[in-house]
Amino acid sequence: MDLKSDKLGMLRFFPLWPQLVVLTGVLVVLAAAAAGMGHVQVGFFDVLRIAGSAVSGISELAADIDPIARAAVIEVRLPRILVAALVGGALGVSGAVYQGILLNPLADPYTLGVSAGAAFGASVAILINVSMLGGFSVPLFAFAGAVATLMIVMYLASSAGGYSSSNLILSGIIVAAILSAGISFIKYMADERVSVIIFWLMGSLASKTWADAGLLAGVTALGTGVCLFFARDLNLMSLGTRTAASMGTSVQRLSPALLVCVSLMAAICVSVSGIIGFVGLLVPHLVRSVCGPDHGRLIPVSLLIGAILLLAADTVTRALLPSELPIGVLTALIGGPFFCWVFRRRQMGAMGHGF
Amino acid sequence: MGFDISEIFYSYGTRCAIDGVSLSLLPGRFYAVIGPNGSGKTTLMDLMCRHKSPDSGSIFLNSRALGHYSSRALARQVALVPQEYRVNFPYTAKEVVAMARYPHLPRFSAPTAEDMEVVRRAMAECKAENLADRFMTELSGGEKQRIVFARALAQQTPVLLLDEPCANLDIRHGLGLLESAAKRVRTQNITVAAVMHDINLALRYADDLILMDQGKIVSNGPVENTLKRGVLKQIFGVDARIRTDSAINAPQVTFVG
Repeated sequence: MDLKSDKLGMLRFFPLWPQLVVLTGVLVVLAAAAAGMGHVQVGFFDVLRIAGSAVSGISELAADIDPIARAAVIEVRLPRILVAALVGGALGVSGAVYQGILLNPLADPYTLGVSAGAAFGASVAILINVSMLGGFSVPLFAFAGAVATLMIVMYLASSAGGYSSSNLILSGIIVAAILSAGISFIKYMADERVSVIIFWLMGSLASKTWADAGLLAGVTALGTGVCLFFARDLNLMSLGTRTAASMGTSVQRLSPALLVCVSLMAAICVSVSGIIGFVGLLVPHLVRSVCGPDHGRLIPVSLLIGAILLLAADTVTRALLPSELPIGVLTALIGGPFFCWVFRRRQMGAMGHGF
Repeated sequence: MGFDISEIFYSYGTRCAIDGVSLSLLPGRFYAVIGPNGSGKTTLMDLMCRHKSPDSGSIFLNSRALGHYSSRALARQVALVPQEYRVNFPYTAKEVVAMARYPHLPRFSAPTAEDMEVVRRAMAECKAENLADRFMTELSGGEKQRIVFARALAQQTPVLLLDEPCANLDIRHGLGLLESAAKRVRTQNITVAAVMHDINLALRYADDLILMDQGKIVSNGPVENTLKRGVLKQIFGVDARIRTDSAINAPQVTFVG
């Protein structure tokens, strides 16, 4: 190795599996610790016993633990913890694939307007007070808005030669700007419901259910599986479309398909949890600077790092801060300055390999 | 065997880039594609590696329609050294050359020791061993071009398409790369088709010339039959003198204006 190989990037030469095992271990420990924190304090090992008895069905395992603590852990905290980890992981994977296809360091899961579309859909649902679908009304409207926006952006960006990166980014910006004006208009019209809209836009992982967690687990597993299947094609794409084509990857067909796949993954995240920024932008950069750009590593490590970071952030706002801060605000408050720092270091040439 | 191209057309919108080209490329020959800017040379390369598909006409490779190859199977037949070789992420040079083995490997298998040996030899052939652990984002234009060439060699294909392979190289490395391509033509019976602006460099190695202008093939065949003052005047609009250089035993062209 020569001089410029920064110490940070060394993990790229170590085997992947031990890294994944360690990160999974960290995630599990963090989840168990987080499940014990809050108004009702539960010990670390009690959490493990509660979870163990719930999984195995042996009630004696946690018989001596306060039923309120048991209910808090099983019914309230674990679903929320799972949702936080899954949303973080899905956004990390989605961001990694976005950056790999669009070859733009500023690309994130919301580049194609998925968040703006979801926000618009949710705002409409809140404005007209849809309730025919019960608690699912707002998420369903958000998802519909996200998918409609994605289709419009893809349509605008398409040309005879396929989808160019700059066309996609520009279309995303234009459509998001229009939707953002639309959201402002809805807020203006919403009178007293404006606060509901504003809270939704700031994102929240509160009061998530096992159904949410199950949905996200399925979507994240499927989406990550698809992305991993095409990890090598993503590597080839970073050599340019012409080279990738000559090496067995049809960029014109694969890149829109993968973009739609990860956008849908992000759309479901946004529908469940509201807009959580910076995770999808920051995590892939962070991982790339440590593990190298190979997507076979980048995707699984981004999944785990995204999960760990968003779970940690959510635990801070839920259990450590005196009053709960919206998670989207917290990730932006931490992620924004951190991104500035990474960006500045890159300008100084100290970490030139992350991008 | 080789390429059989008949009557292909390709347009960018209304501008016709390839205008009825028919061509056969045989194994064991080095073809130099020569022509002025915008004559369709790069488009022809793109059509032969299926980055683009012709609007009409047919391209056969080893008697099989190009469109019938799977992407991976085609990548085991044809390798391309493109003009642009920007690598967008900090892969090391060796990682990039190793990607050439993807078409030969099952999707989830890591490269074997044998594959890495192919990679090592390809890099050695391009005098790029010392760049192996450097980041692509830090290499100079010429260094990157050598890596991209090594990558194409490591793909181990019977057809090698070169699009301006020496544009950024100093003379020594340029000669070295063309020499290793020419050596594979002789020893491994591969087909090389190289788009080249430097006609004299092309003449050192080419068996055949394909002279193009405005999307058409003006003249095509062994160098001795095709290298004519009249044709050069016609496509480049410049007067030329042709002589044989005894030092390299190849014809050379002097443009006199």
